[in-house]
Amino acid sequence: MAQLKKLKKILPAFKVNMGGIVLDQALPHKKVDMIDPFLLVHHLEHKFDNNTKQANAGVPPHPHRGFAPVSFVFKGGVHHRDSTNVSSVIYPGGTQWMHAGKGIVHSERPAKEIAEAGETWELIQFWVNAPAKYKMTEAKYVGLDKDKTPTVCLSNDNVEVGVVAGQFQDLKGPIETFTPIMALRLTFSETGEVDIPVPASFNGFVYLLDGALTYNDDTSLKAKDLAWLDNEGEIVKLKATQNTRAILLAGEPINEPVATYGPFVMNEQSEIMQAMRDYQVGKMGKLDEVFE
Amino acid sequence: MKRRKFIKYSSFASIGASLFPMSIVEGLGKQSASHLIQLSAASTQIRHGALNLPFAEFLKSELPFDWLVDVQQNIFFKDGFQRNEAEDMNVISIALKEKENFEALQVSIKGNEISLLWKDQYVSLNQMKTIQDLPFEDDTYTFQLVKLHTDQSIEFDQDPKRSYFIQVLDGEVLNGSNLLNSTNGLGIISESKPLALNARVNSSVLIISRLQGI
Repeated sequence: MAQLKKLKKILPAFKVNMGGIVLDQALPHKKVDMIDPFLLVHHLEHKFDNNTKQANAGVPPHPHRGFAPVSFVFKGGVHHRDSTNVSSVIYPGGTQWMHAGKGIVHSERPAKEIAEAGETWELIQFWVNAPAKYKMTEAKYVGLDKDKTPTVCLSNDNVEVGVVAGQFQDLKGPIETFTPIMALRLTFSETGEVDIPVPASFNGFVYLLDGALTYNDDTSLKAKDLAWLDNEGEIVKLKATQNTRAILLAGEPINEPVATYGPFVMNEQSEIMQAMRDYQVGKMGKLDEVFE
Repeated sequence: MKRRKFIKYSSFASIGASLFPMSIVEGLGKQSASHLIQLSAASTQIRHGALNLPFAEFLKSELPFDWLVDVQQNIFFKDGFQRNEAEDMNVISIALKEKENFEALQVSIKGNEISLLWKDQYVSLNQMKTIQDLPFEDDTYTFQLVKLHTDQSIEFDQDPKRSYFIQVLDGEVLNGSNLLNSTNGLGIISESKPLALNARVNSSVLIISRLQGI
């Protein structure tokens, strides 16, 4: 019989100020720098003032190299623009998965109508590291709408599981990754429960946006907790004690040296300096945002 | 490329502030002039540091030469969210004109280690001589690092055909009445007299020179 996975630690998210944008950061944490291959988990929820101009909201153009920043959209809409001339708006239930590769400049702003109407946007952004041999490949963006995300309802429709990457039951996520990754979006009604198989070789965690879950029938998880999974065991057992939204991320560790500074994730400090130089001389491209 | 060793080490224990008085340039192109510029404070960068400050592509009026395009400073937090002075990576980026475009010299200071990247050439030093020519192959620029202990002085002859930019990476040095540190930089054009630096604390100084008129 498959064994339940224990928890290594519970890491409550804390507030950080990212250039004027205040959000909840679950990773990196005082106790944990990364959970290979995951380097960052940010949870942002913000209500805009009425008549906010899109050009004045969100995160303006900035570079990345060497990994994939990924956004799960929960409320509102996120408008992604980048230096490869992609302009993409994703709404609740959808995903923006961008492999930065050798370099890309992108911006992340609220959808125009969301900002102007004074509505709320909510997203989780997490970073997935890339192996060294893929860090300098071409950048690639994939926008995945909710209706393109394989989804199954379980537990008398009290649990909805969206499969963005990897495998759950007979559903395969459409996002292709360089290393084995499982990325699930979980929505629980109270009393909903689900058992999720996660390979013992995967490092992973569950993060709650809100609500409350019981883990393995013995541990309580609350909103903004990141529950770091132990490797021993193969089953993650979750039961909701309130309506809850959560994500489960797990992946094969890359086990390479990591140099992560600012928006770049490479293997050595010299490569970070190279990334700085390449960005500054324009090798990662340029983004001139065009606003309606 | 023939590089001229223009710096000589002086054994002066200290040097009077008025020994080599400096004049402030009134405009570009003047001979025998120095120009102290103020730099923007370093930006701190968490793990998702936005780093959204573009490099200037045009001459900033307050910079002393047309070959010095911009100087930016960033502090990247090692743990991604809070300051740790011993572990964080301080990066000074100096944009230098290169034909019709520019190149960006990167200087990283982490603890006692100084690393520099010029184009594709990288060097890392944690034990330095007082004067260190950096082994970068370049037809236009030369780069030197000077490391001074507290109260140590150095004096060097300048090539009248070259102009110099002096950037304190760490510490504080006196040059005449100018107190140089990481918040400013000194540009010098065609000084025919020796230039002196006196360290008030342990200091590391970067000196970039370029032939004039090219």
